[in-house]
Amino acid sequence: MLRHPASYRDPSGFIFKKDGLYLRQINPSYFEAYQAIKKAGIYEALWRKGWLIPHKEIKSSATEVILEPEQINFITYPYEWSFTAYKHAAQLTLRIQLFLLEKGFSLKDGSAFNITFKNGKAIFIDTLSIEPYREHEPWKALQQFNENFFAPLTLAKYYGSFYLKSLQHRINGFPLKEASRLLPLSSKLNATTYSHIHFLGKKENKETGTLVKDTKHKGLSKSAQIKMLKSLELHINDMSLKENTEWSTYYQQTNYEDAAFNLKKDRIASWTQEVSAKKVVDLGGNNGTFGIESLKHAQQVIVSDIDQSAIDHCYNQSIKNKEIRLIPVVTDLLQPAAGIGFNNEERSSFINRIKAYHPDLSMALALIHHITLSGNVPFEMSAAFFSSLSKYLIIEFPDREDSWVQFILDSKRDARHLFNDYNLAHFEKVYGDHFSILKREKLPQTQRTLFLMKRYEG
Amino acid sequence: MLSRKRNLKTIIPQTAFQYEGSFFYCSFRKDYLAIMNVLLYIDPSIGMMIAQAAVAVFAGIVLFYKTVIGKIKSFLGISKKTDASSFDDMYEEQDLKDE
Repeated sequence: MLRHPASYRDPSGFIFKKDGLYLRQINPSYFEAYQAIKKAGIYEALWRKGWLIPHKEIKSSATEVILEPEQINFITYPYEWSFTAYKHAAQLTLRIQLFLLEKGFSLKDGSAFNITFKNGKAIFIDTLSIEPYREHEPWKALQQFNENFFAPLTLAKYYGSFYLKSLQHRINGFPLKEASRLLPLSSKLNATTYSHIHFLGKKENKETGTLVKDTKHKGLSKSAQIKMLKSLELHINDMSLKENTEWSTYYQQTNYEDAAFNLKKDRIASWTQEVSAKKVVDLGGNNGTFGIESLKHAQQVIVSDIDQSAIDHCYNQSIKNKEIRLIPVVTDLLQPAAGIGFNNEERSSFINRIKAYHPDLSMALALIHHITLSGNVPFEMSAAFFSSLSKYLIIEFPDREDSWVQFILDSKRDARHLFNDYNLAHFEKVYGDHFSILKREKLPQTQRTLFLMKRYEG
Repeated sequence: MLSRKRNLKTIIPQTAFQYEGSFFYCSFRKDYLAIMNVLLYIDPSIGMMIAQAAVAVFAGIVLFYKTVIGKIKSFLGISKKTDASSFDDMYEEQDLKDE
């Protein structure tokens, strides 16, 4: 039995891995709550809504109950979500709390790590976060919810998507006091922002450790809590991020014609089929335009890109088109999410999760010039990196004459000569040490070549 | 109250009591031992809990205002167009209905 490194905070139980499956153990301290939730039909109701990860009870004894949850083959973390995905995760938490309150239960924590995405939908994965509601008890997870969801979303709304990555360096959430200090004065004019960040930020820990008499503390009625949560959800639902980047409209301003664009799409679909790839990771996949092509034959595609707007577009389109096989991830390949938390293992690094996912095919379309010329990563290192991910690689190489490459080289000014090795012949030679080149196709009327490569094994 | 507090100290580990002691004592006298494990792993902050009452008052006003404005906008046929998908788009309509 191998305990999951992230599953240690809640004494009610923990996740462990056995025979390749993630299972959940429930400890006796949670038995009473578990039976009450089961008896009330809460799990089934949440499963029908698609809000909670389904599970089967596979063992029950006086010392433990073992659940087998539906397995998720790739977990994304809050700091890898786009703005809309982050909003939806926040809304799901609030909707679940509202639903539970109506049924006489409550969420005991409001961590953003309780949510991930499965089949294109936000889903709650911490089954043991539910407990019976106690009359007039305020929602004790509100502070955690605000620190995990509302503060990063509000900061992102005012200052940009960088703040969506807050939990990467603050695993327990963004302190409200600090968020309050950072937000502009005008944010105090909004009643929800004022009350949940500025006001609660002042109250944070103010009275911890002091004895408050019951007579002073009459609690919060259920109806008042429901109004508070509904108002917060409405506010989050209306939030938007006005942040456009060059990449969010990339495919409207490409430097090549329709013929090349269509040939590229066609080759991605046919090569995916040719290598029988079922799981694909599209690195630097922009808004998923080409990742979707591979889905004609693959079963699932992870689309990762540094650009929040492009991934947000990908996420929104997936929902609108009911494309449940895409996993959009905001990731800077030159600085992917590291392992964080206790022992650096609580939240696994992006690269470790990709490797554990075992993709059959990696795609790096129009990416190599960015990581080589902007990121200064030598071909030797990028080739070794791609070969560590999957057996097959589709990679697009824009040569020195390509206008984007020219633009980047021009920006090097006097250092331009340091990148003389950036050319097709050198690229093929270095990548040839790690891969055999199965296909090579020049895209018409462009300075770009598309390759299908197979990793040397052993 | 103080004598009760001293009694608690004798049966609950000192550190655990100091961590969230007053919180349990105030709100959950009857079953403090049973729920201690469950509550200890997050720090809800007593100040934050009490402040929720004030937040709820704000929220009640905001909710009323938004509901009225929403109804007026709906009556006038004013709706904000957005490219972003809504939360409800993710789930089937049937699933969203309350049980």
